[in-house]
Amino acid sequence: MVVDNLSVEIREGEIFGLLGPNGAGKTTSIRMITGLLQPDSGEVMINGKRATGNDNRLNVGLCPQELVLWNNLTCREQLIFIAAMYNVRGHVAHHRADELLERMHLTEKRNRLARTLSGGMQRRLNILMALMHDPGIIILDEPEAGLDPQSRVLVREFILSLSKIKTVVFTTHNMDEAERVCDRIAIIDSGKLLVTGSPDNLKKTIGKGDVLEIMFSGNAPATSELAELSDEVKIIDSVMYFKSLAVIDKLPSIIEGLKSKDIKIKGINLRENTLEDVFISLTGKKLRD
Amino acid sequence: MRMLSVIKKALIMQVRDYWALLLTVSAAPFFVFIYYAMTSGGSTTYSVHCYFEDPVKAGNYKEQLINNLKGVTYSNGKNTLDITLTEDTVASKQLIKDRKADVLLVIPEGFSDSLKSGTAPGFLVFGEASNPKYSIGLIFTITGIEALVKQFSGKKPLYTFREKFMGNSEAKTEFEVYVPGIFVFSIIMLILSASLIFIRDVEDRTMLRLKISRMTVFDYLLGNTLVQWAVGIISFAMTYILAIMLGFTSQGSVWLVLLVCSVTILSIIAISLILVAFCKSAGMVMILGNFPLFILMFFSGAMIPLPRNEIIAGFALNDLLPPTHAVVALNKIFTYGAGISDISYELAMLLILTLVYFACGIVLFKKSHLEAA
Repeated sequence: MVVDNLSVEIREGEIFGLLGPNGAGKTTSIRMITGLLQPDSGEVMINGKRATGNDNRLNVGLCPQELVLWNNLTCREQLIFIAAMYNVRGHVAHHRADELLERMHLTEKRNRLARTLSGGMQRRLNILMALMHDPGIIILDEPEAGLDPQSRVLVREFILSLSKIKTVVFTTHNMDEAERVCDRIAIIDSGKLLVTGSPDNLKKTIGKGDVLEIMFSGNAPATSELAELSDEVKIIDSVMYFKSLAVIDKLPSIIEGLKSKDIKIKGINLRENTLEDVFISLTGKKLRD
Repeated sequence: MRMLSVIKKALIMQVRDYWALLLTVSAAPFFVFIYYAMTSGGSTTYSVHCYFEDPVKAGNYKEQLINNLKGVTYSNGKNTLDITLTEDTVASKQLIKDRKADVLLVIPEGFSDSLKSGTAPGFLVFGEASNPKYSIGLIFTITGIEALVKQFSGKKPLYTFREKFMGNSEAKTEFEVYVPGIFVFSIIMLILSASLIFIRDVEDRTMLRLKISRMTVFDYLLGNTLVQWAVGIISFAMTYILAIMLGFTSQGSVWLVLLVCSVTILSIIAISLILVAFCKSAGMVMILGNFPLFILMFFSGAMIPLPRNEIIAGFALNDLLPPTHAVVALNKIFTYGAGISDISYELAMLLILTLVYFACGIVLFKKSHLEAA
């Protein structure tokens, strides 16, 4: 079974990330949302209505993981063609194609055949194809995969620009990208939903916690003296390591505690709990395992 | 609007896939030209080598016989036999083996005496029975000899017959005889181009995008079919115009020819859909496509006449191939000036087969590529 009893609610206007390792069921879930695959049981609801009717499903724009372009059509030709397949009127399609190409910095390449574009440009065009019929929901399956750094920034900014206007669902392996872009994420593994929430909330509640490094001068205190300040404390050379969930919230009390023990602070470093840590904590394995 | 967009897209992609387009539209005109160059646009002639066992004794009769053989002509006055006097039967037999000659006629020593005395001279004939030109060449040779024997013996023949060629078949040059097959071939060649246009969407996985859009199977198939139909018509028109320029003549209406070709084109597109259902890439189409291509070329009678082996109620196996009926219909139009009622059976069969193949093609294509997208 690829997807097992998966129930997720995605709110209008949010950017929702679907995180999971290969084979977790992300793409299968997307195929079910877009109607490419029929679930054995259960249903997909869009705006409170069952998404089985074609019209309702047409409110969804899909950017598949692989490049799905007509190699022998130019960028503009294929945008206009796909718009026509959704009954978008000619002048609207032309205007929208030009606008989207501009936003993805592809205006100069508008009359170039898709096959002559660089990989990054093809990826950007692949995303635009999902938007030509102006859907309310946009599904991006690993949109940043294979992107060069410049294109990655462009795509990220583009997705963020859709926030509040569109509902965006996207899958990724890239935790940094998910943290930067998503309002909420769902972590799935082996077809099951493990957790849903905002990245900040998940990082504060799941995982081994943040690590606060404090460089100090003078004699090192015994770790037992500092145990009350954090869940876990280590001292190596002249650095103290405090490990705890939401350690930043505890920072004032830690600094107070150290001051009261006459420890002179020379510097502070904070390594936050990451989504990768959250994932490892939930599944016992890394996201790319 | 969607269908217009599908047509526009298919047209653009077809033009940009210019090698496939060029191959499809130029192959048949190219073959017509090559065939014309090979036959020089003339009627079929049969090469007859004549060997006199005793040329001296044959005297004037030798010249008379040669003249009689040379006098066998088509109604348009063109020679039927190409007569060569040979003194070396071994060399002539070798030419027959090499298919550079069709008949070796050995005139016996007592030939002139037989003619004078009114007895039957015994000719000896050499030829390759498996060479279709041998038997026809021999018939014409006998015609020439009989005229001479009748003239000199003064005997009335035991029977007479008059030959009445049907339609304009006698006036046809060798080039004209084979051109209709090439017309059908020009349509059969469409199988590759039509398959490629469908397989591109499978190969590029763009079928997935189309499947989640408002586009219907009807929009997609009809839009692409119309473009391929246009390509087929262009290919046929180029072939037809070139053939006319090189001397091909038709007794019938060009519009009727166009109708037969239009339906045949549709049937080939339907067969292409079936082919594409079994392919995943353009490479596979080019490999697997050879199978239906050769079947249609060689078993429909388009390139070579085939024996008709009826299986059930007058139906032969090759009746299942749409071009079989197209070849018959075109022959009736070109040779007999047939009207629509004369070819109604062939047209009906073409239409039925086209519908059947389309139905199979749509089901298979949907199953293998649309549902699986």
